[in-house]
Amino acid sequence: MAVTRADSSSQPRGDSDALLSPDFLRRLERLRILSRRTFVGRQRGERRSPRRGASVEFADFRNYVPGDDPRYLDWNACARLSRLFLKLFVEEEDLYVTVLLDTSESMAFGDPSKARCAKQAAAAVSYIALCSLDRLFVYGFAPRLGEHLGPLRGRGCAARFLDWLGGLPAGGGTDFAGALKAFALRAAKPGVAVVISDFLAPDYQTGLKALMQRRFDVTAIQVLAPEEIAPDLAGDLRLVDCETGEPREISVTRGLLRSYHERLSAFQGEFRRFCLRYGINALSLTAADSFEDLVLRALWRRRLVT
Amino acid sequence: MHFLVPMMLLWALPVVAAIVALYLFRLRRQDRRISSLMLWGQALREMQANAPFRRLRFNWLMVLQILAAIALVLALARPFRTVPGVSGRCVAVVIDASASMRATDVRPSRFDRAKAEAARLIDGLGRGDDMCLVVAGAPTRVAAPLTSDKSVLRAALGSVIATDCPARADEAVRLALSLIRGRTGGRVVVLSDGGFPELSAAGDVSTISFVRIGESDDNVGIMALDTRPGPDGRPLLLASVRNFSRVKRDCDLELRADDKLVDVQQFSLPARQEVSRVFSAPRGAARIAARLDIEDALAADNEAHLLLGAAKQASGVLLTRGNLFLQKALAIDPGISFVRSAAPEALSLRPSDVYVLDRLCPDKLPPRAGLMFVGVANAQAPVEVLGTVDKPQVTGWDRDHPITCWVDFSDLNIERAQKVALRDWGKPLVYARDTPLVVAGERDGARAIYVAWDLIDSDFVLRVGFPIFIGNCMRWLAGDSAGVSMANLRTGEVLALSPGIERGSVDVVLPGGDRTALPVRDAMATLRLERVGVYAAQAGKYRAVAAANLLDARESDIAPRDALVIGGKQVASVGQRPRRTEEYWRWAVLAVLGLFTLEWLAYHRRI
Repeated sequence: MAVTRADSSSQPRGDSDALLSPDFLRRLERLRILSRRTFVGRQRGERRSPRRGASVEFADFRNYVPGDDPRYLDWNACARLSRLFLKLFVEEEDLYVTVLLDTSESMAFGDPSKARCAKQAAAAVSYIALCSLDRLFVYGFAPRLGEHLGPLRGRGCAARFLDWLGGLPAGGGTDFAGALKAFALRAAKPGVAVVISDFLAPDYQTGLKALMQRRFDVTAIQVLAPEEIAPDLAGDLRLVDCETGEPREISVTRGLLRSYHERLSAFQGEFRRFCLRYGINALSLTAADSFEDLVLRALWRRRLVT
Repeated sequence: MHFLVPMMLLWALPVVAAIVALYLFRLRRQDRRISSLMLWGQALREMQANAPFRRLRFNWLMVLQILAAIALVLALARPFRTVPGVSGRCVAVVIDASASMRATDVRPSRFDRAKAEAARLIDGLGRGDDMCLVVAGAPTRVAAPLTSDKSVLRAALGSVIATDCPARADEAVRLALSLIRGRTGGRVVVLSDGGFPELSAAGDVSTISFVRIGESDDNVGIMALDTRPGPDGRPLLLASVRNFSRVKRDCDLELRADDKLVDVQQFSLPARQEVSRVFSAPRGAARIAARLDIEDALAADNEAHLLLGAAKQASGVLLTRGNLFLQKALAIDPGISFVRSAAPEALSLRPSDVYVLDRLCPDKLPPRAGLMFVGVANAQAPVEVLGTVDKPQVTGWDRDHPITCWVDFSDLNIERAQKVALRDWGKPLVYARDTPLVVAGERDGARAIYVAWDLIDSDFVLRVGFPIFIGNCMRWLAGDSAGVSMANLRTGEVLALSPGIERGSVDVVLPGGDRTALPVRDAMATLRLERVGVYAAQAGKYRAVAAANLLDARESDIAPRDALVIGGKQVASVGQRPRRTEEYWRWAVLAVLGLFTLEWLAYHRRI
């Protein structure tokens, strides 16, 4: 199913502090979200469904039973085999795309902040989904699963969605596993779930497993701030966790920074290994990177979009 | 390592403890909000702890700060070490150049050791420090004035030689003290074996350092060699030999007459004992040489020479009621030995070569004796007294006469003088308007000098020229008795030669065969006898021979002394090599600065 080009009146404004520029939005319109599995939709759409339907794409045969529509009988097979077979066609439905955006206090960290980068990634994925006539749900979660927007469908919802996303506040702590479990229980149907977070939570694996148990096609986008990759710390400090307020006194030394980098590398390696083991698309972004090119290349490389 | 203020080291413990405590209890830290503490992981758990004593971990900053604090405490404790040299910004080095310093108990000799030590002191001279070299020989002299130029000092040191003369340490130490007087950090270093009598205190004794040179007392020396006529007409020789060591020594004494061996006697000398023997010299012998055949540390006293037939020391009589200036001036000339008397009648009992008549005068004096009339005259005087004259003014004097040369009579203040008339053989040397003041004359081989005023009644005795004038008078009156043609002298004394020529030079053969030419000025040449032996002088038909001997028990006793006695105070030896304290707190301060720099770099590089 091709992404149709939107007319100019239905495009969101390109201001806003706008999360995404109009040019970038136009480039996104050519893309569509890939799903590695077929999901049952709700309405007719442009995605293959496990259901058999009335599309032109042949799917299978089955024996005719009384009551079936005789228009779908395969007369050629009947002539050769003297039995009646009914031709089945692939059904095309819309796809449930859910964007789960971490809005905890830690996402406000960094310059530029991780929250802005995460919102830009969420906006990009969501806009692609809207343009593909997928059924879009957007959730923000901090300590708990918070306010959400959706279902949205069609490019006409883009402006509203982007305004809502831009005004989504960041704050509070993170109950990563609890929020994703709550979503998994609440979701009516599985689909594509894009989780955008820094994953700096000890229980992030539990949350992602909950999504996998509901057979979501999960993509995890990790956003880190440049200050987290190369901390600009010196001297004797009291580090304060912005979410929990927990203080820790340290004397920054070269050895400590080396140890931190080792921990960061180990954490990211563990994150990638976990995602690989459970078939989760994993993607890491840095808030300081040139977002648009990076997102496009990364989404493409990770086969999240086509 | 030693410390001048060791109590300062006690500060090290509390200072280090304070630094550690600051690291333990350092509660005020800058707050930094971060997204999550999770990533700091184990690293954070290693760095933080709630209990203070669990919080202390190895920290380069703390180590550097502790090292800097320790270095600072060390600097305050003023560490020092002892290095060769002497402390002081202005050092006067007195080098003993006397005979005992030629002892070879230390190789190559004590004197060379003293010079090497002086060279070390010169090498250790700090920037801006001054040093001078004073040689305690005969005479005492300043070899190098106060200077900070090491090349000048080394050159002067190289020119210093040891002599066989007795030491004049008192003069040398006084001179050294006067050189450093008023100078900051002045110090006198005496490089000697200490073989001289107690020194008089002429300055701050605490500024004197005594460096003892020498190790042994192994010496046997000739202490006396003299002659007298024997009963058979042959001269008898008396020789005394003394053992200065603490062990018994045996030796042979060889006697040579005119370079021919005439006798050898064995001496068995107990420790620190002296033995005398009498020898007979061959009739007609002119020169006797005694030589000890022994291996000891000092060779200068192992030989002695005696000239038979040499003139004895001239004798003189001072007839006076008391004139201290005149007595002192007469004592200067070693060639004439004076006896003081106040009784004119006693002169007949004491035949002498020279008579000095100070306001006392008998009617008749021995003929052919040298006479000096001071404020008095008789028939043997070259003048006839007419009366007195008050405050005579000197109008002129004979500057070329041996009596008045080198003496300034201008502006002489005389209270009263005798007015005299010259006899026909008298010659005025100093004259006023109305009368001659000094007259000399010679008649029938007898010389006489007349001084027209009482010396006490003038300021002449306070002038520099007074002792010169008296010396000139005595030398002129004694004639051949003092201007010897043959003499037995001691090393260190001055041999005065009157070769009979006004200008020119006298060739002198020194002991050992070396030759030198002495310049003659005003019909006189002088030579200081610095070596033991026989000196032979010749100028045309003039011949003179002198024998110089050490014969000094104080010099022959070469046992090095442990201390000098100066003004009743003991100045102990600082050892064979003087050492001075050299503080190096500056290095500790540099270490502090370096450690703080490292600490600053470590802080900013987050080591």
